[in-house]
Amino acid sequence: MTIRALERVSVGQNGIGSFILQCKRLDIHYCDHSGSSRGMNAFIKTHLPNFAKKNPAVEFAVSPRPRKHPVMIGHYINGRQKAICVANMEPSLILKKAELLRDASGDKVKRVNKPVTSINESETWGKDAISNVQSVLALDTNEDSPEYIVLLLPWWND
Amino acid sequence: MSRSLLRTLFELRAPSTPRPAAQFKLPVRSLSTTPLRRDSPTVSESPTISAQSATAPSAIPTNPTEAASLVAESRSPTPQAPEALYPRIPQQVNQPTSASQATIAQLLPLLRTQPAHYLTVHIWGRPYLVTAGDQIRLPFKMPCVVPGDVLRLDRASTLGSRDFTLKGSPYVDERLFECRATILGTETEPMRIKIKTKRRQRRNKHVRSKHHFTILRISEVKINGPEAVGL
Amino acid sequence: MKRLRLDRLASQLLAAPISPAARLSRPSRISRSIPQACRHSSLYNTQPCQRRHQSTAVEPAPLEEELVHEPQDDESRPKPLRSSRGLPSPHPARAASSAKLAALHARLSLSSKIPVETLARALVDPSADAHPKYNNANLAYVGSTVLHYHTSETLITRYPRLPMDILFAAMKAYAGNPALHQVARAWGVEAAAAPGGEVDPGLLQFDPMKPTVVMNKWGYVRAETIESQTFKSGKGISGRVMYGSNPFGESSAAKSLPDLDDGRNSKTMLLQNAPANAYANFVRAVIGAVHMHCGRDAAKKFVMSHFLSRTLDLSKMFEFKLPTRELARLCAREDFDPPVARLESETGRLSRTPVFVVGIYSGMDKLGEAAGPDLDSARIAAAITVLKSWYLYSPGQVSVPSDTFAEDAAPWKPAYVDIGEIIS
Repeated sequence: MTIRALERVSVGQNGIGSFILQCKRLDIHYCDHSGSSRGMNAFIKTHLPNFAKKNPAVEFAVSPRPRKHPVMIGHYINGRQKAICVANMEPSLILKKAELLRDASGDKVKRVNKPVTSINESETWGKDAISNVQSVLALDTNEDSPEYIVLLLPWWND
Repeated sequence: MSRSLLRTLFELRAPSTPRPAAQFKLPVRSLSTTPLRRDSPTVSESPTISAQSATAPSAIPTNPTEAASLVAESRSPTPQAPEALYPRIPQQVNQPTSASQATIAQLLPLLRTQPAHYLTVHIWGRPYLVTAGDQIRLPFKMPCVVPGDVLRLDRASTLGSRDFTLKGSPYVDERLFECRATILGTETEPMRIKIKTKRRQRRNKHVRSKHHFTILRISEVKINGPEAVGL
Repeated sequence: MKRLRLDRLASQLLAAPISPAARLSRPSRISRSIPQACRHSSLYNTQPCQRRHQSTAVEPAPLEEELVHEPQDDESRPKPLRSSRGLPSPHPARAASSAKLAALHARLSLSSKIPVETLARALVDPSADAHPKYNNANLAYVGSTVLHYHTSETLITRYPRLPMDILFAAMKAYAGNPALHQVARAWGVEAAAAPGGEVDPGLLQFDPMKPTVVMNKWGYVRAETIESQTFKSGKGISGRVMYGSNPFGESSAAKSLPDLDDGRNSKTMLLQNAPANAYANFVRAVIGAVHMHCGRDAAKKFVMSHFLSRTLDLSKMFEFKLPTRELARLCAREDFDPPVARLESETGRLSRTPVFVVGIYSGMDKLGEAAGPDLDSARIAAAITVLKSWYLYSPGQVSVPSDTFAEDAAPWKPAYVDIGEIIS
């Protein structure tokens, strides 16, 4: 027994195979009396039922918070929260803020300069030449036409 | 509600079962990945293979609504005429030479046997070199999409594996590969504040900007054989 | 200063001795947070409120009978408890009114065939509620068998030359407790602070103070397994294949066999990481629920999309002891020419950081190459590269045995599986 296995855990990436919406809960706080909540109260009455119906994966919790500005707090799967104060906003604007909270990933907002992020090794020049040799051995033992090997080999024979 | 049901169907489908072609050919809602380009066709030279994208001329999709460049797949087809946000631009294909056809027929199976593939997809004119599982941060917020939608990307200028590269001129034939991306959501970056100063003025102007970016995840990359273009 | 709600306190006291049916009609007393959370849950909970709804697939309980004999059913619990606060886990009837549960159901894109009551039951760990009709042990067992079956068939057909050690480790990397724990966290499942009848049914209920035993045996246990455990045999890899108690080849059968428990090894029966086990059991129970309610194909698709689509770099799981000897044996077994290591290029032999590139050839064919700081380690690294490329051969996308379960499936074409590792 000359081979020993090192324990590793597979890495999951959202969107491959299945997609999980990252926003899991949306807390909506309002006040019955304050003027800053007027837009929020209208939003709760007009837009919110439809919005909640369209987004069944998000848990909506509406609760009063007297004598405070209205606020929406999104809770995300990674454990972080995102809060938006929606004082004195129009209902349509509050709807946009709710969509922003729904679409957010919950990660910390940071500047990214590279458009593509990857956990795969580079295809054209990986750390070792595994994939190359792999295909040669595969074709070799599959008793396919042997000119495949010839075609693959010049890269090494140079 | 219907969208979530449809999404359930999509996510519970086995990856091995081939998707019916009509599913993404539905003229549901089309967004073009590329602006209209009338470039003169250029033959690009690759160190390994150089091949123009080979296409049988009879199979060029001429109907603008027949195939969509970038189609939100999880949308349910509407009975009335689809609202085309952006008219589909048919792929500009050059007449393949017989030499390039022979090269594709000979070497594309080899490219397929090498295990991992990359491709340079173009989304609204910008190239992104991706492999399966990569995350793309688009420099804009894509309109009319919600998280979980699946896009089919059909403009690519390069297909490749470790040893082989197929270059298109300018694009590879869209029947040679299948690339799908899932919308993950929208992200922002910290607000940028640019201070504008003018000489001999005692005020500085603070210009604020904060943009939203759509995040995609490449969920599927599949290379089809040369029989997809009738070779 | 908070105002005391005396009426609530009084009604709580009054509620204690009343019948369970009356208790059900006032669920808001159980937890104050529910009415707020449920304000919009009725929008997407269209199912009628069913009391005592069990998972019909696992335990086919006639619903009408239950409705008639409601008090008797309540007495069938381990301890006949009157108030919901005393129940060890939330009442199944409260599942339909839980916003968290409905959101979890929608987030996982589960089919509407799976009732939320089943999902609520999947969230109850045996450590929270020991009654097998109310915890997820049965569902988790079904789910674990489905998950292990699809994982193993996919791994074996996709990598037919994997050594058994690596195969077991890969099984664990895809379907073991750590991976399932990560999946459950990525699904957004939260654990309740403490299990009990009053908590939201959408929270995972387990008691870390009361860890359960490993649940991987159900029903029939082979006599050889017990014997092998008694005589401490089966330590080698072939013994693990034959008598391995769990699908990861771990010889933990002694921990799980209750009839071997003589009080001395009771500490080894306990799980090490109880929260991870509880999360993993929830995930297995969801797979089991999909299997029971939606069928075999849906369960396979669920497993494929949520577990086998995860990324695992198998080439980083190998640790070789004698790679050069193993390579020589490989070439002898496969009738290749004996391997020869050749120096391809070098730089800085006399410097502090020399680099040697060594290639390994078999006859005219080059098998692989690697670089190293001295000649010997470069040769060993090159041999490891060759062995990995041998072991990680993949025929690409091939069909698996479960593809033939469909009605109109093509007849099974035997898949190529290698004879095994070179030196075992």
